[in-house]
Amino acid sequence: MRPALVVTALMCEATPLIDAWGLRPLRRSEVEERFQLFYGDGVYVGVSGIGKLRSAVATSALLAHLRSQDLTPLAINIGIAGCPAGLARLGDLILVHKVRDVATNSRLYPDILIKHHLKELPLDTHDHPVTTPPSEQALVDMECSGFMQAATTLVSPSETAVLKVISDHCDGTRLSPEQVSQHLGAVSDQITAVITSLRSELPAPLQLRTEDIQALDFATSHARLSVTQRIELERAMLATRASGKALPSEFHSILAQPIKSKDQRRIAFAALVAALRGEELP
Amino acid sequence: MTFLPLFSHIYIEDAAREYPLTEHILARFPKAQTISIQNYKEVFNRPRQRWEHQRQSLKLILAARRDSFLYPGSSFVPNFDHTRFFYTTPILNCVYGCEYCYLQGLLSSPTMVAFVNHTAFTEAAARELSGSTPAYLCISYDTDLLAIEDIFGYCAEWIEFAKSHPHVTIEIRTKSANIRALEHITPPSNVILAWTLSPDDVVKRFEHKTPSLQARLKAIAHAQKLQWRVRLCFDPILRVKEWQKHYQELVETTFATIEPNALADVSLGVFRINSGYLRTMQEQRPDSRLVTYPYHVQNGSASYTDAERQEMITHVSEHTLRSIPKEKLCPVPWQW
Ligand code: SF4
Repeated sequence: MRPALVVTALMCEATPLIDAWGLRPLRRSEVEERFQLFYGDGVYVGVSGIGKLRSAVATSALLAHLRSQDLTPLAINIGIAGCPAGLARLGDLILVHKVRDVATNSRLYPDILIKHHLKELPLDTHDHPVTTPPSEQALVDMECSGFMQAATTLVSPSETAVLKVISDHCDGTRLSPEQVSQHLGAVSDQITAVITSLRSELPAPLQLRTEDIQALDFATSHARLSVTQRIELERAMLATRASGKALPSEFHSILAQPIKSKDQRRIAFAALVAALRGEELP
Repeated sequence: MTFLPLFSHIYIEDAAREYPLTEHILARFPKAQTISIQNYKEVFNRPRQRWEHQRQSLKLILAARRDSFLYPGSSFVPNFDHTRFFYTTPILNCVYGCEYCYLQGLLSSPTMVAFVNHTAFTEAAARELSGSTPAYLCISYDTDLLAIEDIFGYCAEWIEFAKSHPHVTIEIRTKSANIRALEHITPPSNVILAWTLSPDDVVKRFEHKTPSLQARLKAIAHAQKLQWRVRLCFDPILRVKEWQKHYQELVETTFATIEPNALADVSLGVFRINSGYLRTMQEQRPDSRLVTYPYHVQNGSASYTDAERQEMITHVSEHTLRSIPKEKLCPVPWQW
């Protein structure tokens, strides 16, 4: 299954998920300490702090951190949100299909591809707590636009999801951390079901293995490949791996030859690509 | 089935709300989640979309096109001897999923965009194609309109246009078997239904979600019975394993079912694609042998080598010419 990164604003939002999934704290680096990262069975949960800026910073840092370990996680934002009374009931778990940043009017759309049983609604991210019912028929929070903006610079919209539990009807109610945890805990099974479907149905992009990257680096420096040639060679290596094959032995024997002149470089590059792609008809 | 069904989500541009077609489409999909948007590009052109994820659950955008209603025809497709050669795109993207489809390299997402201000398209066509000089207009270019005629009704609208513009020949290219959708229309002589036919092996392996060869042939035979002008397109011809055998069988099966004398013509073309689109597709689909095959790149176009193309065209044309006269065989530019 695909790894997933869950970002919450508050520790009290994360706690019920950490408990439900039996996660343990990771404290191996500054990023993991700073965003209180927890891990278990392919799922990471990090805590950003309140506000869209903090959410964006945490999401970027954690996604980059996991990608530096060759992981390509889904990015999921989970937390509480308010909404006008009548739009959804307190305690309902909502899947968000549109996120609007109220300050900038920028709009972001997480793709919803997998079947689910949740109500779907749009969400507006405000810069301040909303204590009077808004006119828009949308959920309100203070983080989601930051999360989406940061997440979609690194992953595709189909690899993002936003799940919100309705905590208030924008009437100025202030919840204690225990009440927040109770709201999240009550829907943790539904959250687990959605995340499990996403993780099992959305395959990660194919990536080169560490030894392939080493071979690519060697080919680039030995045959002094241009950036474009390197990209093409990488694509051919990916295609080879996608077909379940190992790098052909000619790949290494071509690189065992001295490659000095411009002509030798051109011929070596063409031979490397040809060795990888092969002539077999589809 | 874990993925949501076709058009589970419909994004609606604010400017598209007022059009009757919007209402009609929404009525067809009463369970769809509707999401308001200001401009179709904010969903369609999002960066880093993953085609292979989104294809599993196609979404629909309803938009109003503001400009670019007609484009000059591309050199990659035949113009059938018309100097005034245009295409139009009432819909972007396709319900089918052919593995070789250039749309994967051209567009940033498989999400379908339907332009609901149809009259703006026909008005633009009437302006651009005014006079009496013959013109040729392909309307099913970045999509397969007949496959979705039951939902959108675009073919019927353009056929109406053809009736009042007899100097304009309209081509509706399709792989669908949905001829039933046009049964209620009297066929005008300036509308050509152009069916793309491929060997069964190619349909099964590479033309995902399309009707079988048999279903297409049955639809063609029915269209002929209804007096539609029909063009057959053995295009793209793919160099797959045992391609000679597969294409010979295709031609033989076709002319065993279809009345050759009633055909408008037959068009042949070997697979070719803009090399930039192919590069993008190779990034998206490293697992597709068809996409990652080492094509020969020349002048910005990727295809087979000249000798291979000649061999393929010769093979298919020789078999085709056993059933139709030479005048009915149309070449794709630069392939012969
Ligand atoms: S039918 Fe045509 S437009 Fe549709 S996927 Fe196939 S090649 Fe592309």
